[in-house]
Amino acid sequence: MTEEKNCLDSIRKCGILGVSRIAAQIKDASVIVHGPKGCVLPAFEASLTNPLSISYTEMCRETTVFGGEDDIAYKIRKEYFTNNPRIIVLISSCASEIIGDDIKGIIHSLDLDIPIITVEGGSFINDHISGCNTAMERLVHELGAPRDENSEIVNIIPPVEKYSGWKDDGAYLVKLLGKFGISARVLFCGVDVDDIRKYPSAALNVIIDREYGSKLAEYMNEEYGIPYISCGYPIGLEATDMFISSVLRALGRESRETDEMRNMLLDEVRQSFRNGLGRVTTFRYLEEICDKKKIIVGNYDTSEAFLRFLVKEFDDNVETVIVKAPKTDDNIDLEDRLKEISSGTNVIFTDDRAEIIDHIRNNDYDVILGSDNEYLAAHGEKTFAYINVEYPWARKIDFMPDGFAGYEGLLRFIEAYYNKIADKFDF
Amino acid sequence: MGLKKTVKLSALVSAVEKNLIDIGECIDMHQFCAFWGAYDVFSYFDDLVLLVHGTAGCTANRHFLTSMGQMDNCDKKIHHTTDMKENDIIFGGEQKFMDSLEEVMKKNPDKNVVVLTNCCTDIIGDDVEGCIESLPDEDRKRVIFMNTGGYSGKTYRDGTENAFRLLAEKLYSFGRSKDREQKGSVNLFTRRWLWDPTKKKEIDEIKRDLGLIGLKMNEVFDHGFNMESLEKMSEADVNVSLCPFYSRGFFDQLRTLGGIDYVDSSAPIGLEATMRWLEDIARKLSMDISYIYENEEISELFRMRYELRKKIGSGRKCVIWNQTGDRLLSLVKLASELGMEPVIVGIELSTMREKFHIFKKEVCEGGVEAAVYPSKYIDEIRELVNELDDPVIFCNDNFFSGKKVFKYRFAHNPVYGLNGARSIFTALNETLDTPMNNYSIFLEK
Repeated sequence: MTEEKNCLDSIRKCGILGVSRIAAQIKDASVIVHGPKGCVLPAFEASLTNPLSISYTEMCRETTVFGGEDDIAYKIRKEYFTNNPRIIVLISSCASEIIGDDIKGIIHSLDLDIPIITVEGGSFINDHISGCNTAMERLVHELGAPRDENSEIVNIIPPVEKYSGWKDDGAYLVKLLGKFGISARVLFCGVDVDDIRKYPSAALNVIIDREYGSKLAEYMNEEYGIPYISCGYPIGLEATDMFISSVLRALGRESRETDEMRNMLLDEVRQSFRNGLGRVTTFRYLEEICDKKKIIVGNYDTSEAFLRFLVKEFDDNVETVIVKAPKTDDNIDLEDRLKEISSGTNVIFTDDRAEIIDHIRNNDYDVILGSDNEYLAAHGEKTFAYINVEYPWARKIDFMPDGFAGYEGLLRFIEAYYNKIADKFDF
Repeated sequence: MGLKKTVKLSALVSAVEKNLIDIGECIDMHQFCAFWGAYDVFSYFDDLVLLVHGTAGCTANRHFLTSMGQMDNCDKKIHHTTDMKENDIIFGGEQKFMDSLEEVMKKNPDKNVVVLTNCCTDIIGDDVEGCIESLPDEDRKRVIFMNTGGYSGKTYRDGTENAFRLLAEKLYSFGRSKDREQKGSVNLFTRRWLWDPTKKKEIDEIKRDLGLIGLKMNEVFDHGFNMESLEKMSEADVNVSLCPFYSRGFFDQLRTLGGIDYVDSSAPIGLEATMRWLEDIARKLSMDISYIYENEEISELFRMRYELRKKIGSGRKCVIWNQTGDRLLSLVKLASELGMEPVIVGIELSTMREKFHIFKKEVCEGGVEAAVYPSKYIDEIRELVNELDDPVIFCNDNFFSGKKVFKYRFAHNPVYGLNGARSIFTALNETLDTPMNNYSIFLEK
């Protein structure tokens, strides 16, 4: 265990961001934050990457003392008649949670013809990830139609806004499963309200990042009897192959043909890689890249996936992995798993932004896989290559697909990784 | 049809002042709650460390500029929170606060600690002030406390002004004398949230312009500030600001406590405003600077402006779509200076209310006038623009196919002072000379 601390510079933003991120994936959704002016910012942040209509109840001292239920009703009606949303997601804040406004009672009294879903956004209840999970579960809970038990669709629960490539990853994984005759869809990724209603009609739920989707998968398992599996994030050959085989196994569709197809896909990606390197690989900078000092900073699944690929599949090495999670007794097995992949890698678990910044500033890394926060921490006189694998990612723009998952994504990652390092250093 | 719907800016300002319009709040990324305002001000100081007593979300949310791609120094700094959980909300978090404060002080022995609170702490009624009072004298002196719960309804501006007031009080607890000999020195407040290369150029330009009238810079309130610099601010003869909205609380307090006056003319954007700005500073210091009109650089700028006015033509409409506040008014004045008739679009009344002292001074007292077309909808604004005879449009984005759109981004380019005027005149001249390209990838049809 790390030193006991009383305060921290948290990497976890509040639940309003997480809930808003999910709402922003629903076409014509509006978010109303029941809280003071400052609490709108996380919803605004969610709207930076996806269009979202936002308003708030202008909570003030008077509302805090006497209750803000009238303001909620007024804002909902105003939003309904002004922007014509298909759904309204009402997010509570710390202040409105503490005073205990009867939000549900107000909503019932309005009798509008669109769904109005309430989710707790207050930071003492939800952070930006648990807020995202709560919103997914709540939306299916409120909107889900009865299950069609004959449906063979596989639901992929994505890590919404975990990094810039999450949507492309989802689309690619759907395509990949399609090669095995499996029909799949990505939940909460540019959907409309009617799509969400159909979510319970599925044969299987697949969690591809342990931080995102367990709550929804468990709920759908209990309520609708839909089984679920949890795979590691499918970045790298082994992780992608494991993703496919896990889905096939869960559906009872493993066969000699699917094994052959899996092997063929692995061969194809290796072939593409070799072709891309060209005939004379001696002049490629693979050895030089290997000598560079590297760090991965991300959530557990991101860290594990990139560590496994770089060390086990790319013959590279990684000096340090920082997992953005508090070090607890529950995480000891996760640390062991990372050590199993690469015993020489220094593994740190922390949710303290200050600790991450200090570590990066005090260790001269040549290559950083992380977010713009880590980029800024390292930014200074020393040269380093930076590959974005986590939110925020505002230092780059992408018009073409940029996900790193699956076999196509892996080749994209290798391109980005190799080219950025080669551009930075005079080999 | 569009122009018939315009109102005079002065009438609108008057209506807002008399509370005749029902104004809803807007989402303005620059104007969040008092917590944000205070947090911003204290973040400028390298020798202050922030401890927020409350839930972690507010502190983590504050690191939002990175998500927008901005390299803001405040975002790089380390700040602390007591990370209150549900349990603390129910049973109170005073002990947690005291433990955290002790930890922060111990870890940062060379820094003073600013304690801010958020909604949770304020609503549950933790006695933070009492906790600080209970500290030994030596520790208590290191703590600056401000109650900033957003639920109070206090705005971003309240937060900044209160933070500055606290700092000003701190300044005069250093025992500085109010009786000073005039040395011809000026304190400068920069505008907020700027990319550093632009800001440095702007500070250099202001220093240069002040040098033309024989003044020197005393201190610049900027990222990387510290308490020693704050103390030195008391040595200046006058305070000037590039952001009247941001600095007002501090200026008021320095005038009250220390007798240092401030210049409240609007930002020196354009030649007219820059000259007036320099004259106002000189007037405060009882200096005669009429000689600067003979300065060759200034004479050349007047010639440049004359040529530009000729090219634009008299009475041409100038549609201005920009952030409501000081910059908007500066652009109105710039348009008038260039012989155009300004038409403001997309104005945000709640922001006008928030920054009302600026509008009152400039419009009601200063006589700045424009037509206001109140719509914020692109289709309606396009309709207005199409109705006007070849207007010049001041707008960051090109929504107007075939029109002269001046896309000079004020956050990315130096705009202040004489060099700023030259850059603006040059860029506008180029815009007028360059045929519109319908294949521009930036065109939004």
